[in-house]
Amino acid sequence: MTQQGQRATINGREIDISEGETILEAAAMVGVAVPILCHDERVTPSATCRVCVVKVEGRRLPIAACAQKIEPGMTVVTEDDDLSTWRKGIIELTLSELGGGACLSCEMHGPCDLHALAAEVGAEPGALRGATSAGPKLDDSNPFILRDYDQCIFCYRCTRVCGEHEQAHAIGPAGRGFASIIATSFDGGLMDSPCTFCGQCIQTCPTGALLDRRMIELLKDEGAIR
Amino acid sequence: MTIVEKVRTICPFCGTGCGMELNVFQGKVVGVTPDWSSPVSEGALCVKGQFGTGFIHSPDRLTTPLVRQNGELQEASWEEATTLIAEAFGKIKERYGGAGFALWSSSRSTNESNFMLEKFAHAVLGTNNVDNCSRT
Amino acid sequence: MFGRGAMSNSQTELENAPLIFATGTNTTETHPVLALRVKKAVSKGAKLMVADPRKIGLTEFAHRWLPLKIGSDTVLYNTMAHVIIEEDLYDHEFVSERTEGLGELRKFLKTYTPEYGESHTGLPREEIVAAAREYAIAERAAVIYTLGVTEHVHGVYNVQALANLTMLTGNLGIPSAGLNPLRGQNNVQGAGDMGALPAFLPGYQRHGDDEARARFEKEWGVELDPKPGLTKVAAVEEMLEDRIKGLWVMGENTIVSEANTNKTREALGELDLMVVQDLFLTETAQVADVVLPAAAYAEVEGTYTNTDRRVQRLRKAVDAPGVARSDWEGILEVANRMGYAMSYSGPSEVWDEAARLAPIISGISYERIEKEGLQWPCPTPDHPGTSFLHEHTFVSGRGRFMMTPHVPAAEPPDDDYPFVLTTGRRRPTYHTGTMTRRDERLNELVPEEVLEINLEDAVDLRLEDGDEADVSSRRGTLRLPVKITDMSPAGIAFMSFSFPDKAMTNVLTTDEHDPQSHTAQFKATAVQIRRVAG
Ligand code: SF4
Ligand code: SF4
Ligand code: SF4
Repeated sequence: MTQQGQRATINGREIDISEGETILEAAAMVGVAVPILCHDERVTPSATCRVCVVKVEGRRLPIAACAQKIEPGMTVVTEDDDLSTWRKGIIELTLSELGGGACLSCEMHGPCDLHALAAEVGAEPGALRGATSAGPKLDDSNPFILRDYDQCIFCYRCTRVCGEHEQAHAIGPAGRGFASIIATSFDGGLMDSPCTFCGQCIQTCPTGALLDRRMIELLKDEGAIR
Repeated sequence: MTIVEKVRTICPFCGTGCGMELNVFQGKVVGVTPDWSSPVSEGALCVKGQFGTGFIHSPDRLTTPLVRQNGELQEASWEEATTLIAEAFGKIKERYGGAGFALWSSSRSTNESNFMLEKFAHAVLGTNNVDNCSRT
Repeated sequence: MFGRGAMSNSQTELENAPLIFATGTNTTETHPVLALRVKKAVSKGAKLMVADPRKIGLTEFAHRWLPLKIGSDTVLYNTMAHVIIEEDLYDHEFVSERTEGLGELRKFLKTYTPEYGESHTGLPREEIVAAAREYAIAERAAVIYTLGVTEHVHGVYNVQALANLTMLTGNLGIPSAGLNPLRGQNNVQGAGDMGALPAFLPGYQRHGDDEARARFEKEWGVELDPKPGLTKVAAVEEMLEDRIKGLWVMGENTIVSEANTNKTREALGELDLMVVQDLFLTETAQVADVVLPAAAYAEVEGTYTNTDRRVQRLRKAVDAPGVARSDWEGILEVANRMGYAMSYSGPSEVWDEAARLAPIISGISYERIEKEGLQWPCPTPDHPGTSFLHEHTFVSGRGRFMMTPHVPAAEPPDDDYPFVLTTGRRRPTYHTGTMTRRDERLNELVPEEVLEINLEDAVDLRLEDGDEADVSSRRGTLRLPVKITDMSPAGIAFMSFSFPDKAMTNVLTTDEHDPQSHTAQFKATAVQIRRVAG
């Protein structure tokens, strides 16, 4: 509900705000798109990727717009040189963890959020070289979902959508840091898990880490991808 | 890079009516992505909608009309098949009137096809005996 | 009753319902994405009450599960209504302003005491009373149901008894409430809307309505019969009596889907000409005289109407194989050959004709639904569509309370057939399996039909998981593997009917049906189960 007198400022523009709304949501209401990577509006924000950071007057550090509730009188800036540099740095770091940005040349079937975002912020693939987080590939023989850890940025969109939206609780994070992987609750195959094969993890994944196995096979057969 | 063409449509597998995009490559459906703009499903699909496209290009699909001859269904042209139906239905109509027909429509076919069957029953065959599979 | 065969409210509204009463619906299997709304509502704090004999997926999210005896639904609803009236929990304002017949209902329900309810449903009386109170005092409460309510000989009474509950509590004409049949197949709503029901012309107009009939007669240039037509069940009898000789089946696998397969088969054998339009040579197409190849959803332009009355656009993605055509084009060609000249530039012109004739959809055009579907009633081009029905009034004026006596199931279990077989759906398969069985991957999830039974019964029958069993009813026998499950209570077995190649489930079911709706009692067939020796 919009309450009388509940207003805030985004990019110099005064706007009406609603109780409980995040900065991201309030901005979207007035047509300001803040870039996101680890966020899916249907589930609780995790604020792990920090691509959506914005400046809030009176705060020293930039704040993740996906998780921060907007407050009356708040003055927010979603776009300036500092933020662009910051976002570019984050994307480049993320890419570096995917093997120096090799994934930018991947010929995925659909739009890859990470790929699109890299173009948007002008991130250079291979700008940073670092350890890659690629864990072992999970040998999961289910016929539906192909998981490629080399492309995973550990944003946990898949696990949150599975748990909070589908409420199947089939997958979750396992391990920490570079050794972390996404695994089924009991570490068995998806076929033996509570997975309903709704495919929503594939659809929310912002990279090519989760794919429809048959689609990839069909496209390979046709010579459309390598 | 997007190598598939996406066609926005509706899932055919239950009354929820989720929005989906069929992913097409060289004239074949190769996969499905959700229609995020659908107010019904808002980006969600279930296993049937997401993965159940295998039947579309099944080798079992009927590709031509079939007509029973000497007890066996034999391939025929549309002209042969529809002429045969028109003649046989004409005879039934003469002898029994509209009461001699029943038409069972499909809860899986489109509104337009259902409407056409309804019109055909009423206007051409003269019967109100139209029902569908809503009770199963 | 007060309305139409459609959800009074919308699935999107469910998410904000403070209480959802789910009865006779295995929503997580039949409508998985709609079920997400129910789960979401629960996450947001809603109460979910589930009445179902089986421990279905929804029970995991429910705060109250009422595992009633199969076929005792009417008694449960009547008892709840009894409690609501006797404890004066009903909505006085709504009842006096918008309904009629409360006095009569109160009298009729006198005998449906909690004690009586307990003795018939097997549920503790306190549970029934608590459920009634919760439903009545919830600020808004949505009832959702599917075929578990209707596929009984008392299916109509069940629906009417639920309607009584919604009227008593004023849960109509407001968002996130109502009486909501979740329509099973993708376009079952649309098929009915288009008049593919014997009692109606398109748009739920009666054949006997002179004004409506005249509109159709003028548009189509023919005279129409003012009497309603025959249901499938009635038509089957007419075939057996040699009075119906021609049958057109559009995309329906009747032999597999109808109760009492052998009887259906016999009736179809009596026809002079049977035409089937389908994607595949189904069990039903195999007995046809002429089979016309149909185009699939991915190959046609058109519309479907989903369970919340939303007309949505279907678009062509690929070409149909060979010379397969959309169903309507095949029908059109036969009509023309029979001397009734028709031509249409495409499906949008067909839609426009339907919209002209049916006021509830008159305001909907392909143009308007290009981006997003519209929910009927939508009578004019500037009407925004309707999310929930009955806001100020019912189509029938006042809502009438109906007397809904308890009718016991036809064919109750006895010494010879001591188990009750109930049929339903499993998520990865669809209806008679024509489409889903031809998907390798879906087949991996549910490779074959199984007879689901309780552990207790399995022990009694000396059956282990995967053992073959013979299941027989008064009409036939099937042999299939058993699956031990805690979903079914003792005494109740479960099967779907999606595997006609392996198990024609409806060989077993009875065609005893509700005298008003002609819906067969798919949910309760007395069967015997025997272990296959060896
Ligand atoms: S497909 Fe399985 S793992 Fe993925 S979101 Fe659905 S239930 Fe979870
Ligand atoms: S698989 Fe995709 S959605 Fe899941 S954590 Fe990795 S990148 Fe994120
Ligand atoms: S995706 Fe699943 S829930 Fe949605 S319409 Fe299709 S079958 Fe129904």
